[in-house]
Parts: sequence; C-alpha cells; structure tokens
Amino acid sequence: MGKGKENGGWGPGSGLVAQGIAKKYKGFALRDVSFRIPPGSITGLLGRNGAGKTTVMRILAGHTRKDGGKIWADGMDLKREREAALAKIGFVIEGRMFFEKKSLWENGQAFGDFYPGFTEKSWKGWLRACHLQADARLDALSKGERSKFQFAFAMAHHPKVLLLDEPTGNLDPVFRKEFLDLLLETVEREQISVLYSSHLTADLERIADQIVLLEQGSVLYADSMDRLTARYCLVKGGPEEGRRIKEGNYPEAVGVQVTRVGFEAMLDLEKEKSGGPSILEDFPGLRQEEADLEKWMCYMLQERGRRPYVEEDQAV
Amino acid sequence: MWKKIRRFDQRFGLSGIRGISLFLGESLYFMIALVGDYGDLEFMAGFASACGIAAEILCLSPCIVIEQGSWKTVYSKISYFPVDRKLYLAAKLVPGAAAAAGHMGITWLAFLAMALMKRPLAMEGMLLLTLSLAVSGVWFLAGFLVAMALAGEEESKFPGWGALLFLAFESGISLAYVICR
Repeated sequence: MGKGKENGGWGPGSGLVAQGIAKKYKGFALRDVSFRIPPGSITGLLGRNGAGKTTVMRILAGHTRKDGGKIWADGMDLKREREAALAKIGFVIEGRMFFEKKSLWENGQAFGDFYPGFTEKSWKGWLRACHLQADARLDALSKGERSKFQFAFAMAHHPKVLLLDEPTGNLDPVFRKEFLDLLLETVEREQISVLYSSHLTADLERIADQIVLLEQGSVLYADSMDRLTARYCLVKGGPEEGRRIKEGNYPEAVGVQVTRVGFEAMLDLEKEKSGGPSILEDFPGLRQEEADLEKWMCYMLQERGRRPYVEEDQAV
Repeated sequence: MWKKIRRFDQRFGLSGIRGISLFLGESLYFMIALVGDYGDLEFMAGFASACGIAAEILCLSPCIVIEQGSWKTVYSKISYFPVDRKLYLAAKLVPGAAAAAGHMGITWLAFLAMALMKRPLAMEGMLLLTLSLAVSGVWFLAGFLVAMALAGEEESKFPGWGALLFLAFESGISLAYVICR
C-alpha cells in the first residue's frame, strides 16, 4: 500500500483526518465517525448532549483510546507516531490535565517543553492576549479563565490542529467576541485545522466552514456550511397549509410544526428537486426563509429523538 | 525525549517538607541502624526495608497529586501531551532507584561506623540485610510503576491502586523478613 493511501491520501500540511473512528462504552457506542478538516478551516461539531462530541474530542486529543479507525494530524498517524502527532495538536477540553496548584507560567513551562513550537515569548504573548496573569494559580481561575488558559497554551505551541470543546460556553460576551476574532485571524494566518464543538450555534454560524452533526454516536450530516445553507430552507404559511403538508407525502419536509396561527417547515431542497410531489409547487404562496443553524439542528434531530412523556409508574 | 522527561520531573521534584522528611527520616534510621540488635536479624531487615520503601515513597510522591479532593497520577495527566508514556514510567526508576541506593548507602555507613566502634556484626548478616533491602526496594518500585500504569487515565482510583501500593509495601517487607529468616 502506498504512503498516500496509508494516510488517507493526505500528507504533511493536510490538516486533520478522522477515518471510521469507533469506541464502545456500556450503553453508548461511537460508530464510523469520519471527516476531514483542511488547513485554515473550521469545522463545527454539533449534536445534543451525549451524542459523543466530547468522546470524539478526547480520542482526537490522544487521551481516550479508540476501538477502531484511524486519525492523522498534519499527516502524522496518531497511533503509530503518537508523540509527533500530539505535538501538532492543541486543545481546549474540560479536564484537569494541568497542575492545579502551580501557576499558569509554571504549567506552560513544564508542559510546553514537550512541544517543539513552544517558546516562552509566544507563551507570554498569548497569556497577555487572553488577559491572564502569568503568576495566578490554576485552581484560582474561573471556568471561563481556564478555557482562556488552555487556549493560550494551545496557541503558544503553534499547533496545526486545534480541538475546541465548548470553548466559549463560560466566556463573557466581550471576550467571546474577542476570542472568535482572534481565532479566525490565527486560523487564517497559521493555517490551522480547527474542530469546534459548541451548543452556541450563533458562534458556529460566524466562524465554521463545515458542519458535522453527530447523533447517538454516528455522523448524521457532514458538509460545508455553504452547501448546508443552500440545501435547507424554512417555509412558513397558514395552519391549513401546514396540516395538508403534514398529512401529505412530501419527502423533502424535514420537519413540520403547525400551530393555531400558522406553520413552519424545513425543506431539503435536494429532495424537493428530485421529482415527485413538491411543496413549493403545490403551495406557491409560502414564505421562504434561510434556515439558521439552531433551527436546522433542531429539525434534523427532533423527529429522531422525540419521546412521548410517560409517568414513571405508567412506563412499560 | 528522555532529557525532556527528566527536566519535567525536576521541575516538580522533591522539595520542601518532603525533602526535610527524607533527611530527618534517614538520619533517624542511621541512628537506629547503629544501635540496633542484629541478633534479631529478621526484625532489623523488616525495619530497614520499611524505612527504605518509605524513602522510595517520598522520592516518588511528586508523581501523585491531590487536586480538588481526588488523587491523580501525573502519568494520567501526560496522556494529553506529546510524552512517551513508557519512557515516563522508565524515568520514574531514577528517583526510586536513587532513594533505594541512598538508603543502602546509609545502611553500609552504619555498618562502617559499627566496625569503627568495634561492635561485632557477622558478614553474613550484613550481606543478608543488603540482599533483603535490594529485593524489597526493587519489588516496591516495580509495584509502584505497575500501580501507576494500571491507574491509567482514570481519576479518583485511589482506593484501587492505593491498595496495590499497600500490597507492594507489605509484600516488600515480608520478602526482606523471609530472606533473613
């Protein structure tokens, strides 16, 4: 097998490649998770709680052992060349991987030594950029400051791959904006491949080039943001039209919500154009709108995960 | 990588209260070794081994941290970083072996002092005690590394791998006792 095939056809400077990642836990399994993130691009990882986002992040960070699949970071096989691959990966992941009772500066010096790209100058610069005191103890930081610290450390060693697990969830709005600007600028300048997991879909709409949607440990959708917005749209109209659409056989309707005053549905325009009955042709008066990421995610997931509420003693 | 791991270890190495405890503990051991009753060799071997293992524990203690109420090994922390984990475990042999060797040196210093004081001590007893110190020291060090590797990436497994450490401690002393019997 040629080298090109071994690393999924991507050599150094190829970003992050995940191929068929699998992991089994009691009651949960990650199945065949695959995606590619080219350099200088940001991929948003979406999914409801427990979908497997953090597990994917921890596997990619080299912390959790996978049961199957392959990962290449900038052309380095995470299994065969573990240290070389991890030296190219930066992360913001919840956990106590640093020394809690040491200062930020000491932590940076201790762990930074293992990264060839780490310098004290860049460490100092990134601490300043993230408004952090170098002599502050790690256990004295708030959750938001810990995210900032991890981000500063990750950037100080000039990674080629950046894994961000809910990095802005605990940040104040002022720094959140600053953080996203800083991220966009650095990703562009240093050609980093970023996997960004967040429930804040507004952040992802702003920065993501691709979207990967996880559901129950599997990839439900993976494509570019441009194709996603071109493929899905919202239509709105009266309640009667809504009821007819709901009862009719329209495969392009991803989800329909009918209320007393009107209806809203998300359409898959690829299916709409594939022939057969069409909502847009049958109901020409409907209002069409662009679907935002939050609504898209809700429509994509709600039909799959809807569970009727049942009192515990009535449950079968 | 070896040099980087050693540098990493030295940053958070033995210092402060642990260093003072080691010094005071070994000083006390030296005095007891000097006046000990070597007629009861099993007791002296058990005692010397317990002190030796305690010195090893002190020297290896920087690789266990207590944070926010739970115990964690530094080995579990480095799994996120580009560190060769097998080499990291091998690097733990350095402080462990240094503690064991230092302890043995102090034991022999006590033998030398006893000779100067013209206190009788059979060569066989000295060799048996040395052998028991070496066996118990290596046994505990190996047990410590196995416990740390088994604790792996999990947090708060102290009762589990703490029990393994206790087992290594106890069996190390028993080995010394059996050798000198």
